[in-house]
Amino acid sequence: MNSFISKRINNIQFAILSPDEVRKMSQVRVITADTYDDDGYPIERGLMDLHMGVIEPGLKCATCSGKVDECPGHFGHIDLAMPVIQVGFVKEVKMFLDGTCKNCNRVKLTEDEMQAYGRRLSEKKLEDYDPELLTLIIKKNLEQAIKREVCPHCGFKNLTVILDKPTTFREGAKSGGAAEKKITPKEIRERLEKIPDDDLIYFGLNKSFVRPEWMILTALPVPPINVRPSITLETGERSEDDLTHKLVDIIRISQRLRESRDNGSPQLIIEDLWDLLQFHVTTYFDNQTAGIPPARHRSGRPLKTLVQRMKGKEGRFRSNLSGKRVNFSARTVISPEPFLSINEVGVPEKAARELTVPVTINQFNIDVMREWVKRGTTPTKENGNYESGVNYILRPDGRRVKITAANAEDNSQKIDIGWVVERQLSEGDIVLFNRQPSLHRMSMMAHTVRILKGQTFRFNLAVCTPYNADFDGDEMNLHVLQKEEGRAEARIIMKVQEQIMSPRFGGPIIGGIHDHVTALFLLTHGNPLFSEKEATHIMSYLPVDKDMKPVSVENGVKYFSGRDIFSAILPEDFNIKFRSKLCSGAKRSEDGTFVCEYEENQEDIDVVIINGRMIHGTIDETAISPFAGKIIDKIYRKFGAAAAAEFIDKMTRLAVAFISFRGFSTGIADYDIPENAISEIKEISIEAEKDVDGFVIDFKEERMNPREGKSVEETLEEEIMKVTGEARDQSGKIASQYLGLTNPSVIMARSGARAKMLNISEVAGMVGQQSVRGQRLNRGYDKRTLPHFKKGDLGADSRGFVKSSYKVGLNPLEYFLHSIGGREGLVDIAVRTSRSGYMQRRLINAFEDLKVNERRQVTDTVGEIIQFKYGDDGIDPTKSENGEALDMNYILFDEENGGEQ
Amino acid sequence: MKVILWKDTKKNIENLMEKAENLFYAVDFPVSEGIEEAYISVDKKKVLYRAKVTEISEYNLPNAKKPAEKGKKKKDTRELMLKKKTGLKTVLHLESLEVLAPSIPSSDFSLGRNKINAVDSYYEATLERIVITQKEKYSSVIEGPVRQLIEKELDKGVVLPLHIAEMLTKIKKEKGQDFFNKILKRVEEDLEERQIDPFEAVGIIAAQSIGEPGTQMTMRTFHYAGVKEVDVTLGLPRLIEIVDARRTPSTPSMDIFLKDEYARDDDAVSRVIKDIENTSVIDVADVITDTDEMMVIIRPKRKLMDRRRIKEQDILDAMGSIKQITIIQKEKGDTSVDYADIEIKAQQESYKRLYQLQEQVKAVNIKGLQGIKRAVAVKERDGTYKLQTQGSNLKQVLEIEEVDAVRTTTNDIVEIANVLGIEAARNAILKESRDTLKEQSLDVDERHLMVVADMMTIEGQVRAVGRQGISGKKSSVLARAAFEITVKHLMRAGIVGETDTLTGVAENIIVGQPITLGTGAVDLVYRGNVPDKGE
Amino acid sequence: MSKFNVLHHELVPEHYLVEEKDEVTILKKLHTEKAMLPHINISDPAIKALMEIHGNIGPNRIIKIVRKNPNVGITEYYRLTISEVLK
Repeated sequence: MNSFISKRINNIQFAILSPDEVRKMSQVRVITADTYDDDGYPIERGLMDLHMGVIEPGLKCATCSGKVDECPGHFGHIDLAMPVIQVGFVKEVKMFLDGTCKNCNRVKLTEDEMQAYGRRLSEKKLEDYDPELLTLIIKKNLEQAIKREVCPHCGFKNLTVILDKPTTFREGAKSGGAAEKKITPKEIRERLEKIPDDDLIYFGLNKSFVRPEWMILTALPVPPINVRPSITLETGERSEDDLTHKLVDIIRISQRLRESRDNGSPQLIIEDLWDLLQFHVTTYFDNQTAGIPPARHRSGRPLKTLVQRMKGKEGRFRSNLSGKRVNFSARTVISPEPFLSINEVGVPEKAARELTVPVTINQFNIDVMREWVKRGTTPTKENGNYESGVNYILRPDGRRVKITAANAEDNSQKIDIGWVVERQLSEGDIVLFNRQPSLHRMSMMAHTVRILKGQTFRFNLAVCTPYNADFDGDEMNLHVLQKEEGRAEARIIMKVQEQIMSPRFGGPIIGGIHDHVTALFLLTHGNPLFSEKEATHIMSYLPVDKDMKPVSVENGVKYFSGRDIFSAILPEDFNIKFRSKLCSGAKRSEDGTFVCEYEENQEDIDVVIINGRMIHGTIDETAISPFAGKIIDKIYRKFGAAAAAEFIDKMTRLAVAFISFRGFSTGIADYDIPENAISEIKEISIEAEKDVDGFVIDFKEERMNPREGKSVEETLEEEIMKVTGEARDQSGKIASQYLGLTNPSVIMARSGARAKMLNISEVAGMVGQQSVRGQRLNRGYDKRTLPHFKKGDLGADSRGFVKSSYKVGLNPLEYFLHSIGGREGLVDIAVRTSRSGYMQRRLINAFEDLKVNERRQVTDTVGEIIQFKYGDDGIDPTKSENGEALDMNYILFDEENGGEQ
Repeated sequence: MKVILWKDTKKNIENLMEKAENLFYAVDFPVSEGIEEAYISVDKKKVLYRAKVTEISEYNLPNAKKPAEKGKKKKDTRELMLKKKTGLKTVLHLESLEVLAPSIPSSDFSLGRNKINAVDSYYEATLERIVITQKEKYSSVIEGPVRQLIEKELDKGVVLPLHIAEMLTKIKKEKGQDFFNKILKRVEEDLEERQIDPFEAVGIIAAQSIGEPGTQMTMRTFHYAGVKEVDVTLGLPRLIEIVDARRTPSTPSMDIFLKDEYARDDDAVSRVIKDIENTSVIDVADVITDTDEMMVIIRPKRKLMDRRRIKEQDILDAMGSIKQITIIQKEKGDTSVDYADIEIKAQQESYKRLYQLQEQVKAVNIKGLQGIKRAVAVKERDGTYKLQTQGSNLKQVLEIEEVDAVRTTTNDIVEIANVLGIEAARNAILKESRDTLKEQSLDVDERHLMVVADMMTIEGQVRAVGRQGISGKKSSVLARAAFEITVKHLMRAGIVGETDTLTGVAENIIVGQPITLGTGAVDLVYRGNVPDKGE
Repeated sequence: MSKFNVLHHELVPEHYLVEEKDEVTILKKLHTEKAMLPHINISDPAIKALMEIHGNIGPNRIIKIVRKNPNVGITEYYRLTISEVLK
């Protein structure tokens, strides 16, 4: 059933239910505490009366004649034998009792005070006040009223009211006055009833919605059955919901109370029963009320009543309202697919058959849809490939018809304009793809569907970074958009290519990773040459049609340069110049030229691309990876999102193609360093150990001079750590000397693909000093880390200095101490995930309502201004140049070389 | 400037104010020649009244027992106001008695090196008065042509960043008008294109952009290679502190700069360090509580006393800050003990008071500034000294003569708000969060930090991000319910007839309708077929 | 007043009191009203310093603040004075 008028809830008004309203909205007055009779049929006027709704299929609701899925449930009510205080309003009741006179029931304020307060409160409507501020104002208003014993209106001397948590009120004994007496809820109600409407404002109550006596319950609303359904266990028994149990208690006690009262039982018994009734009603609302023991099951487990259902992470608000389980979603393991575009996602056939998109039939699509319905549920194309079918059709009256192979033909004739066809997911549909934890908006992006064989979701590797996905078993979620607006928004705003630039820092977050970087580095570094056959093979992976010019011809064979091959994927009028990571540390020599240890030619230090042709330089992390990605950045800015996506697609294809062709691997032999290097490193470690021993002796013989402001121990530790740190650095330098750019690990480290030179020096040179909390290891046994050392041993080995390299291998002691240091890192990650998550949640909650208005001011929901211009310049961080509004150097470079036209 | 300051009664002031002009006031204390201003305090802590002193003369009353009589002056009978009935010594001719708004705290007056903490009687004190001026305008350092360019663009509605304007001006000069025009046009176009979309959900983006890198930040002070002068909290814990607007950070610290004339002076540096490093009783003595005798005993220890150069008398003087006690310094009975015990007894004999007394005694500040645990001098690259402290007391440090009150700062944001104002606190939030993220090598656009800093400071005081601060003040009942606040809490708020206008994000999600941000803030309207003119 | 000038500290931007006659023009330029402006306490140290120059400043006045932004240059911000909330 479609209604074509869209409505919006404008606002929600809160108030308290009056007993009259409770009775009015109730469908049945519940009298008996029994639920079902012997046949298993609900008893009339019992707690499971059919007037309140149905839970069993087959039964009809007595009020609305609906079946199980139609009836929304209806309230009932219980007339309590005696009034009872609603535990949530206890503070308010006390406020009233304190502030009004027992005798005349007016608020105990003088005329002057009332005028002053009235004026202050009438500045705004009550609801426009900030709630905390309002509480303070009221508190201040009533200070006088509460302190006053003598009522300024009638002169009556009031007694102090004391609250015994949680729900008992007493009138206090004054010196020489009446003895303490308990006030019954009935008396309280009577007092509250008499408070005049006009006095209510001083208590912060709005007289048009609320009367104070409503806070004392006389009619208790009974929730519909589907709010507290009973469960049938395997044994056939029915188990009632916790709320129903509580209601049973309430009814029973209320009955007994009524009988005792009518039979003239002694006062004490009536009071006891009344207290018990109060207890039950209190517990029914909040079973965690301070001051009373929680009501428990027979098993000892405390009951879960109304407040518990609402509170906390698993409560109604956080778990069912702010976030819900949804239909039309899917989840499986992810796996890589380099030959998909970044905008695409590979969806398994199995999933596509279940996920549907609703299509409303109109005069333009009725023929197409007829054919579609005819296909049935599992159609396939001639070549055996998937074709999307139809699962359901919906009639205008809302009834669902399931399509099967048998009825497909018939139903295809039945459909008419206004019907809805739920068709299966097909190629090109737009879906939302997401990986949890969803920390930023790029954790959920729109992809176009490619239906593939297999069981996993697949996508282009460049998109791993925003999702923070790896393929060690990660799962991801997919949502199929149902409505046209959603699909439009997804396609235009949420598509992956629109998210290439991160709002966090104004640079790309999608780009080449790991092997992509290695491949393009090898393709362009030193500008290697490829024969025509090789070049053709590589370029066969690319959807480009370009006239390539050979760089040289030898023996009749044409040779093409790697840089030219790379240029094939660049747009034509593209100009850029920047320094690659390889030579980022290039030092300026005396004559002003830059000197880089990897490139001899001054020319090769920078990447220069003019008119789409790469003239010199090396492609590495700085060029095509997320965060730096200068080429991606500039293509996006100059040519737009689609062009940038196209570039990334081609770039990843080229990278995969090239490295598959060239091959790339590493082995232990890659970390071999010559004998003399090994002995040099050994020397260094021996020296270091000697130095450490020297420091220790100095310390023990009290010759160590403490540094300023530090103790002797601290100074000793600092000196030692300095020495061990230097040892590792030095050995790293020596090892690096012998491992150059022919070494695969070095290639990966220098190009930025993976790992750092530190890792390599740990493998080839020396692992170095382990630390916990910034100090050398010192915990373990008494005055020593392990029993293998003597007590008081402060030497290098004993405190975690690992002299071996990973290649040579660690000895058992080194290994154990190393794992202590390593463990700290893991614990750190575990702790920070939860703390960081909580911080993010609070930040999001505090700022979620902020928006930018037409004048680019930042305002909140009320309209209060937070910033007069967003960021002081109105610039979108996504579009900024790493924080700056513009990259002037690029503009100048671009304009000088031809510019926009 | 030496002035006379005294405590007076409300009644006297009322009488004085009535007269206001040409007032002769007889007071019960001597006043030296040359004093030109009089300050009066009523509540001992604040000085509310000031008057000019034009004449000082001795009070001559032949008969001191007749207080109501008008005092005979040298010549005519002038109407005298009397401060008290007896003991009058001086007559002051006061003019222009006025109420001070804002009032001056009594601590602004000093007797020698000591501040007057409470105006108990009369003092000839010095009042440090500095003339408050505005500092040099930021815009004064911008060159004329640059400023003109910026203003011209501003009129067109374009915000031109300063360094871009500077670059453009240079281009105009070096490469000529034509090229300048071409570049200017390109700059204008680019700036326009890069403007943020209206209705963009800027808050969420800021929160995400700061929260997401949080998962990559360390929780601990890892691998502090090199010497660390002072412990400072880093990484995620620090960021959480900033955002929670904690009263005092877990590692409060100040960067103290000295005025140019003292910045390279070793002696001045050591002097300042000694002056500010705090010593309290517990740092130099054992404090023992004797429950039998109901007293607290201070047992000073030689080594600690010497290291901090404290004398016994210093401890006794410091005890003066605790009220209603008796102090007994015992004789040095036993020669093996370096110092005699000091016994402190409270006037009120109760265990509760005794416990209170014990805590008070331990915390009494003997020397140095409250809060400054340690100060270390660091030599900067240019040879000047910078002091880094453990502990923070911004107000008092800024008042020290040698200290540069322009650059000295602290990492305690709430303190900055109290001492330097809310705008300074906003800048401090920006600086601290920026530094914390940078130290972790995380790149977050300044604009997101600005959203945070501005949101935390728009109300006039620093608000925390959580349910005590910003989130707790939301106007929507449902939004607060969905956050951390217990249901009971806000259901009660809902009772007062509160209406939820469903303008924010959280409440619309709960209700299940499109939010009022982004695409939900706009309506799409279909224009239909516009008929051709010809038809 | 104390022995240092709050307005000179490097963390404190320029604060100016907007004259009442200029208030309407400024609010118009900002397209807003006084109720929507950010707040500043009259007990704020910078305001107290301003009071030394201009005399007593009551609530509901507009303060113009000139800030230095490292990326953009010089920016203006406005705050409305309020008296301390009754706590």
